[in-house]
Amino acid sequence: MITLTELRKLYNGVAALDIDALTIEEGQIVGLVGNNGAGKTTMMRLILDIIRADKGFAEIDGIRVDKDPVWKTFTGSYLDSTFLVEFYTPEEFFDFVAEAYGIPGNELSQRVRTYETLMNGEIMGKGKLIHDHSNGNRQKIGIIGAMLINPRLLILDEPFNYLDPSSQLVVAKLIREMNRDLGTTCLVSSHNLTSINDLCNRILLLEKGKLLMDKPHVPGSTDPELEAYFLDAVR
Amino acid sequence: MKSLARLQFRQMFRGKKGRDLVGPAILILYFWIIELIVFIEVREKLPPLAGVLIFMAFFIPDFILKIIMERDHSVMDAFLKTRPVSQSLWERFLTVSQFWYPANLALPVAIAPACFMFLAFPLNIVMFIVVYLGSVFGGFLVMLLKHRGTYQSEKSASTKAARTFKSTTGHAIFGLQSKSVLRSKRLRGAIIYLTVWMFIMFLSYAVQDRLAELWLFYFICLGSSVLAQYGLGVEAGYFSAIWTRPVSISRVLKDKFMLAAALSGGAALISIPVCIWTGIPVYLPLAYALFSTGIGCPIALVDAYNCTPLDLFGKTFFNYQGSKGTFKVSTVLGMTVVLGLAILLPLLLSDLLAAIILGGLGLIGFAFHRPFFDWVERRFLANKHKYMEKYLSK
Repeated sequence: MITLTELRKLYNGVAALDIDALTIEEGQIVGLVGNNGAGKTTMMRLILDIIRADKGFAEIDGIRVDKDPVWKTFTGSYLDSTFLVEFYTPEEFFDFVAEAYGIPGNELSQRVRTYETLMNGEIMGKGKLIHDHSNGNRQKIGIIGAMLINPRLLILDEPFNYLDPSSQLVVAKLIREMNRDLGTTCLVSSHNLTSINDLCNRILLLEKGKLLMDKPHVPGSTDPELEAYFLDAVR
Repeated sequence: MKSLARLQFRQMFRGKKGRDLVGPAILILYFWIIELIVFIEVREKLPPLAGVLIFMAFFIPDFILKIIMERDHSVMDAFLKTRPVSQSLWERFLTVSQFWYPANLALPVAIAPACFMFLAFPLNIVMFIVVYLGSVFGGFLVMLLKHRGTYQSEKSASTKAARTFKSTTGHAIFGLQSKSVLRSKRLRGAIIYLTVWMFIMFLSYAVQDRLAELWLFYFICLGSSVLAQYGLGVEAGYFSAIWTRPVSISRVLKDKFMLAAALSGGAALISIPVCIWTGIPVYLPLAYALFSTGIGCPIALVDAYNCTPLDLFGKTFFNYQGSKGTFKVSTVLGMTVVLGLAILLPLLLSDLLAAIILGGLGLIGFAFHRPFFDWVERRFLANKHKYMEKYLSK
């Protein structure tokens, strides 16, 4: 589904990402891990065509993302607050997403109900702008905005940040269900190894822009090699 | 009642420092200086009743500003709710406190020097009281309109109306334009400037006939050119939300054009009563609206994506730092031609001929705005990463 070919991004002459070749198959849940500055967000931004690659290219379904925007019609993503329209209320934001994807009103209401557990009665009907919600609620609104379109490809950067433990579990469950029911390919970055271990069936480890590790994973298990890497990094 | 008033004043000034009052003080001083300069010049030229009409006309922008800017202040806060304040006492207090509520004092304070200098005694006293009571009455009406119920759980009438409009028209994407203006403290501030332009136009007419038409053009053009462009600075702050979804750049620009048309059209309509009164031909504001939307707006937007994000929720009224002056040299040159045409044509030709040419150019702009914005989109896409990396580095 996603192919990266000789993809390189430099900031001030330093490689933020340098990947020779990577393919993510349809239906996988891929966990992206690495310490700060590893290149996780840069990789996602390149896949979403937000920044220019200095070399190489990213493809979705065999089509270069920088040449044809067709990927936007089936890709849901949430990387940071710039993916929200902060002067909208959550309802208006979901309306905006629905209108962009041509989702009818009754269908939208039905889909929003799927996320009631995650919203926990704190998001809808409050009359508050997204800007005025807590960081945790904004994170939830962004994630719901990405999932609402029932995407074929879901890209989430640090989706467990700011969330309470219950909400983290709910988000992981929602991603799993979306992958199971719709066959959605998921690319999820996180510093939370437990969540990644529980959720993903493939894990990529980045360090200073280089792909250090790429291995299949059994969801729910731990990976001693991965844990050893992070332990070594602090020694 | 006294305790409530004392509490209200304490809350009003809680956490405020002297420097917070500098902005409003400068604004009022600005009003006063302009008023004094103009009225010293013209007090002999205009009949006294003209002044009465001028002051009465200010009720309209005053009321509109209150509708746009005020929040519901008719609900007791948590402190009061847990104290023995009866509902009837609270309602009495709300009614009486309209007499010293700051928003209701703004208009009488602003017009006071002109009112007392321009009108003869005792008409000036009567006029001042009428303006003051009118502003208080307007404030009271706005409070009733904004009232949301005891626990603020119900939506205000205006919010309900907006939701109904949106649900029937399905314009969530167009809402990016209109709501960013209405919900941004800075952009709403720009609406205040519009009123100031209108005010200056009123007064300057008395000094020089042509000057009045110049201010009229500024007033009508400002919405379509400047607000539309600031809107792009706002969008730069959440550009990923647009970019990663199937929303085209030309769609955003076309929506912006429609907002510009609404703003300029609205400004032209508002100015018509003034034009009738002052003798400016009524077709002139309509021609200006067509011209500033059809020609001015596209020129202002042609390179507007080359901007840095504007902090939508910045609170300081006068501080536009962060937007970093989004006009480029090419835009300034284009806008100079637009302004030049609008100023020179009525001077060189008759008003009617100037209106026909400006209106005609505006209509051509309307006819070609779609292919024009498609071209702007292609230009944007050719440099998309340069722009987007600038948005990310805010």
